[in-house]
Amino acid sequence: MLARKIAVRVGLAALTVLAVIAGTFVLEFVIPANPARVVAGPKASSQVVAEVARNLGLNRPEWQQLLSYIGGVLHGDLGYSYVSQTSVTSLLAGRLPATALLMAAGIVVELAVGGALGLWDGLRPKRSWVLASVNIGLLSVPTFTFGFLLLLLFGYVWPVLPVSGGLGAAQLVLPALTLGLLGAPYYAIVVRDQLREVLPAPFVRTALAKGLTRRQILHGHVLRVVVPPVLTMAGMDVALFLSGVVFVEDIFAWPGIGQLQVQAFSNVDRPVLMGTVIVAATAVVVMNLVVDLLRLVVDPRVRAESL
Amino acid sequence: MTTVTLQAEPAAAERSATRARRANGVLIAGLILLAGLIVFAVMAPAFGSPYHIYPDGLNDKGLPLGVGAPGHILGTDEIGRDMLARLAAGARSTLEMTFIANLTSLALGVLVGLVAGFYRGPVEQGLMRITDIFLSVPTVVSGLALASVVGVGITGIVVVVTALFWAWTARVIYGEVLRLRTRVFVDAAIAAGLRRSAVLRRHILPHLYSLILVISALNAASVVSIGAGLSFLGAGIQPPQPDWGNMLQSGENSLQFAPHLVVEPLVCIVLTVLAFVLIGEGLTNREPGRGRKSWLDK
Repeated sequence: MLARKIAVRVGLAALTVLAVIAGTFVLEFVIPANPARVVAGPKASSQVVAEVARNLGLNRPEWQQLLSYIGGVLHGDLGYSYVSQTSVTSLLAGRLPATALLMAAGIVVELAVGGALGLWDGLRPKRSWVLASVNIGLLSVPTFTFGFLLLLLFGYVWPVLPVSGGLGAAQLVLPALTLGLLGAPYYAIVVRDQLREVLPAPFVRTALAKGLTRRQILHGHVLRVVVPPVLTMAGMDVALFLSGVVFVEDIFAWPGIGQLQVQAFSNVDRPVLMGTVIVAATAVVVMNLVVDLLRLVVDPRVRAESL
Repeated sequence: MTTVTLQAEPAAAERSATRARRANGVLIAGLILLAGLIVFAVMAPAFGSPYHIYPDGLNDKGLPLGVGAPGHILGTDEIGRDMLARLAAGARSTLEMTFIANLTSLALGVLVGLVAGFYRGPVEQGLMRITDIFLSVPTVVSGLALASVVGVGITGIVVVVTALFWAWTARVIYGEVLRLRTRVFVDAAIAAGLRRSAVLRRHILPHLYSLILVISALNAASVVSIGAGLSFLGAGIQPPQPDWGNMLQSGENSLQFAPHLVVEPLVCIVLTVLAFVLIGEGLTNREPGRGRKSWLDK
């Protein structure tokens, strides 16, 4: 039973990725009038364009092109960037660690700030509206706005942190804060709601009667209930971050795939643009799958649900 | 015992009523803010041309004039154009784009959600798979890729934003339609001989109106946000036509010497998003007892 559910989910995830790849194929090769020109770039001579056309096999029927495109992608061939004359895969692979680091730092900020706020608010006896209004406020601030704000405040008004240039720990602070602080209230609310639900529960009273200290109860029993939804949200945040990261990397000049995408856009470097979409979508699908499967395995209640 | 129960009841009802009253306040605040922005946009011609380059627009160091300069209350931009005029013209294009893109993404999303939720079977599966695919690609990354194909400018950005935002509406409407179709009145209507499309239109759709209203407010907030973001990255309305996003882009380089070039469009964007968020939150909480819809999409 469990194996079948896992298989179905994995199958759907694979289908989604394939569909995204097919989508990028349509965008890159079917819609443009001259795909060879698109791949070769606006400055290439007609000879180069002709050779590219030959290499791509553009005179073959479309479904054949699609199949060989998909085959290529699955083997790691995402095409070539006409701007840098390197393979898209190597470009992305080179920049992926920087983005991954930034996203990880962002999640750490989110969890730390959000978790602390949620714990603080949840453990207090009275309801507070502070969190709800902070949430509305931050919902209205788009990522790039927040980025500029932090840039202005800490880069120029109060120049304590470097604003660009390089992968150092000091340069990581502002972009990570931009990504993380905006998402923190969601975590705070989830943590607080979970706490509110759990604290009055009978098992907590039993633990207290057994003689456990507050800290022991918190660590051993309460946190176990609070952590799973937070983990689920963290997994889903990968998708949100992959969007926000484009702005943050552009504003703070962090050399990741977000910045690559922005540059590729201004150069109309289609292979890079499409390749990044494929990689990003795959990351989102994989993350959602992992979160889904974890929930399936960890939470017995989910297992009992029908497909 | 009895005294305790009696005291608990009014407390819950009262909390609900206070929440409803507070929500009305929030809703009105949002509507007033939106109205103010619309007035600002409509009055744009009154502030002068956003393209006119004033000969005294830059100070003697060649830098733009700041806030409160004589004749230019919000300062000038990096080549000497009046900021107030540009911001108002930008309000026009932003609100125009938001209106259209919100309408199209909503219409598409509601249509797909309705059809998928009501006509089960392969249609439902197919439509929901497509919805899932669109939900799997991160917005900005694919927005840029899509924009490179459909082109820039206002049509381009409307198409891109529609493609990015129809799916979450479809998903929410789909869920609601699934819940509604099990209700008795649907069976009754079908038993009475009504065609399924008519049942959809005349029985199910009316129940969705308030949900659609809430969705449209929150959708508008996202549309403004992502629209401005894409414009900032160069995928929207192109300079010299003024738009808050591209004003941010050109102002980015002057951050050190003329921060107002960045701060002013930012404030405008935030106020617009805030207006829609307030409207959305106010609408969500108006009916006492109705749960909040989670909105994690941005």
